Amino acid sequence: MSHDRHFTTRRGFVGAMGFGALGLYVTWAAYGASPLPFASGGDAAADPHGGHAVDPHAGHGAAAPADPAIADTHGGSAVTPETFERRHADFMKRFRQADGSVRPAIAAAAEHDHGAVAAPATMPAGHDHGAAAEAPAAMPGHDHGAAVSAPPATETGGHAGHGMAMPMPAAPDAHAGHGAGPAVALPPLAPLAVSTPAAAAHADGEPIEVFLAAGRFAFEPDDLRLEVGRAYRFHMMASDVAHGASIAFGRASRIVRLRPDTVTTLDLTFREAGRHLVYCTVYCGPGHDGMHASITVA
Amino acid sequence: MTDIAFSFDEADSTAAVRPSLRLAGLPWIDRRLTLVFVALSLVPLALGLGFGLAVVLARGGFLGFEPETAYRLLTLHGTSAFFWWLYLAQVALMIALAAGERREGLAARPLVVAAAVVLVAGLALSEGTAVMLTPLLYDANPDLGRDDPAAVAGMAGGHLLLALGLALASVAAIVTVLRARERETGAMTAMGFGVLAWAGFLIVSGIASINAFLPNLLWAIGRGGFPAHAATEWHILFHNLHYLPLMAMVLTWYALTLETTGTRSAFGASFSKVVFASYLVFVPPTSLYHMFLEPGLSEGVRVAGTLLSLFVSVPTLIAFLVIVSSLELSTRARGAPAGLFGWIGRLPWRSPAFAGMGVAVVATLLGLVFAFVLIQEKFAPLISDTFFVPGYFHFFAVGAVSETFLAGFLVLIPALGGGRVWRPGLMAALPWGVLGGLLIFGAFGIAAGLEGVPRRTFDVAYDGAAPVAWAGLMRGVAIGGAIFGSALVLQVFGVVATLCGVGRGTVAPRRADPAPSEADVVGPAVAWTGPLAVIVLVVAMSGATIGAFELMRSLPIVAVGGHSGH
Ligand code: HEM
Ligand SMILES: [Cu+2]
Repeated sequence: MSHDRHFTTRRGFVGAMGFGALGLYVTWAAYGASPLPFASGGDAAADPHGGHAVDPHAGHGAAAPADPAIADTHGGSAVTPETFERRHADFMKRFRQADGSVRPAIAAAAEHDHGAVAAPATMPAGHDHGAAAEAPAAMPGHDHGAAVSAPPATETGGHAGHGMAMPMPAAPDAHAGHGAGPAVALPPLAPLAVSTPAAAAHADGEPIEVFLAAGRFAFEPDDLRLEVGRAYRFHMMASDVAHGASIAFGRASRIVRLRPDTVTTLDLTFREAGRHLVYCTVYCGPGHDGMHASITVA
Repeated sequence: MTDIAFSFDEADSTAAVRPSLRLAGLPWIDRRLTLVFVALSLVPLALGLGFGLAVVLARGGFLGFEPETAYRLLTLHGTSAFFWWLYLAQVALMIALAAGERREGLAARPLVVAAAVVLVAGLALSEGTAVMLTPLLYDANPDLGRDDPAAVAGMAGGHLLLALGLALASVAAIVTVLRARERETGAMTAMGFGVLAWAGFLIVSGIASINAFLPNLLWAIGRGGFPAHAATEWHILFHNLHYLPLMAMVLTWYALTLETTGTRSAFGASFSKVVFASYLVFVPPTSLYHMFLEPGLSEGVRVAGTLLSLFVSVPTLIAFLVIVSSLELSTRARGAPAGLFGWIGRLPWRSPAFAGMGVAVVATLLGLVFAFVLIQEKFAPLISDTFFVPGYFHFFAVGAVSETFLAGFLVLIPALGGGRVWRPGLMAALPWGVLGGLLIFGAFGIAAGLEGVPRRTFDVAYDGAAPVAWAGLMRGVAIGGAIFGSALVLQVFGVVATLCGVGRGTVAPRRADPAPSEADVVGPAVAWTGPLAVIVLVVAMSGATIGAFELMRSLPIVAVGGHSGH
């Protein structure tokens, strides 16, 4: 190699440019979604959004689900794969209506001791969960609810715990005129809050438990009627082969994969009336095409 | 000293013999064997195209099938196009490049013949099973085949025969390259080294395939317990399976660059060797991101997966830069107009092989823009199982890899068997038609995915419960698919027509152009095009990522941290 090469034709330069995609890391960091080292990952201080320049919202709450205490908190009421089936059956029996729909009510929650007492106390000081739930209200009249979000919990064989959560506030709605909005057959985009179990309990009182089973080729219940503003704790499990559940909001969907022998828990609070398609996301056989349910919020 | 690879480091750096010249000098038997593999790989390609067109038209609502039939078509599409076309084509290219390293041609020739037999049997088994038994999709998850173990056995058997055939051909390629080295100066060319790494990677994947499918097969024939880890083993295998074609693509680019422009790497053989070897370093550890949606994946693994995933692009990007900068330098040295991009016009765009490669480079960059949105663990819950995935990966599978392999064939066939490329003008235009169709398919597909349209679902109306916009988006997907599918059908026809011309006319490869020596090429000359392209790529990737973050924020559920938990 000659020594008077221009720098663009040197190996070192070409080699370094090859790592260019790592520049994406900066974007992730800017959104608080880069695990290390820019964001505080996984510990109780996990609020990578706080005070971030890109983030116009100060009042979003941060769930700090990495706090091991939270796992303890609902450890007491943990739905295990062993108990799921029985509790799902109880749930169906108790809340099924004459028209086939299922309307879970508060009794379900009261039935079990959640040990919710521990929840607020275990949250790190300075995290305002209530504000998180309030965020949608602060949005100028658009139909997006919003919310705190955190990974749903998964309990495999009684093991419960959370990883780091990256709470993110809803941005002001720049999409009011979005094509999909008006075109949606259902009432579009009813707001929903997804939150950690502890945060939901704190904001809305004890969540109502919902048991959703996914089996070839239907969800049970497949016509769920929920109330606006109530916190629901979804326990979900596949009953035969792997399935998935995606809640469609017209502009995107939220997907969880469901396995047999693994209970996935997700807290949801719908903030507006509407009807949502829930569909299976994992190929489970010929009937996969069409495996769906609906959640109607009134 | 063999010189199929371009390397200024080596002794006889002036001899840039085009690959076609070396191939033409191979023993008759090696030339025929390679052509057999070329022909063989076109069978699953043609099948995969036909099934792909049926699938895309069904997804767009233009064709209606019973669900069972629809999933059979999808199983056939994935199995034919992904497993059999992409891997048989690799065997053809790999043995050609390996044989080209050695004046006497292939060593361990019986292994190659055995590979052909095994692969034909495997192809027949896979296709037959997918046509007749329960459609399990190409991963043939045994959970779905509990009621039809024969289907599990057939699919697993097909995949295992594929792995065996690949291993046999790979061993032959390795032995050939090693022998070539011994006989000559003792040094190995960059291409020889690349073939070694590629063949080694194929063998490793073969082992992963055995891990994934042997337990399934044993269970299905009543010789073992139910495979509990099928899903995990499949993930590990599948990760390797979709980078292997990328590595093969890059090696083929090296050979095509030398063939169509007489250009060798301006960065030296040893640098190229490092690039090829880096696939083995960067690919296997990055497999975690496929599992972001799995319940029970720990946060530590998730974080590690996200961090590592960015590295997966490194080998491909460096190879891209080496090739583009080398081309720029040599084209300038031959008097290309000044200015930043004027040299691009001097490239041999009328050559079908070069046009295919050019489209492949563009498609690779397009695919990369979106691949990294999916790789981000925060977006996994939004788009993982949606049409976003097929929407972007066809840029790689079709635009990048398939176009590269077809371009390689258009060099291989005349070099090995004589004859000329069928209607070269049309064949140089078709890759652009494919790219155009892909852009439509990808744009609608990615949009559909972001709006939640699921993949692997034919009737997305869900009894009227789905957003009506979905149907329109999928119609756009189908129109794009029909365009690139038709262009590909014509390309395959052209390759077959070229193959049919074999034997008519003599093998008359062009003489090697005098390649510019290093002194001519590299001096004060600059090569900005490649680096600028990488900068544009990174900006575009960031744009796509920011777009996805903004979409996520605007959702009623703000799916941050979204995965199925701990
Ligand atoms: C020739 C190279 C091609 C390769 C390697 C390839 C590969 C694949 C793979 C691996 C899948 C996933 C299958 C699954 O989800 O089980 C797929 C899906 C699909 N392919 Fe291709 N494909 C190719 C060409 C085509 C063509 C030519 C078309 C249409 C014109 C097409 C249309 C589709 C569609 C629409 C899907 C998505 C189906 C769904 O998820 O519902 N592909 N392809
Ligand atoms: Cu399902």
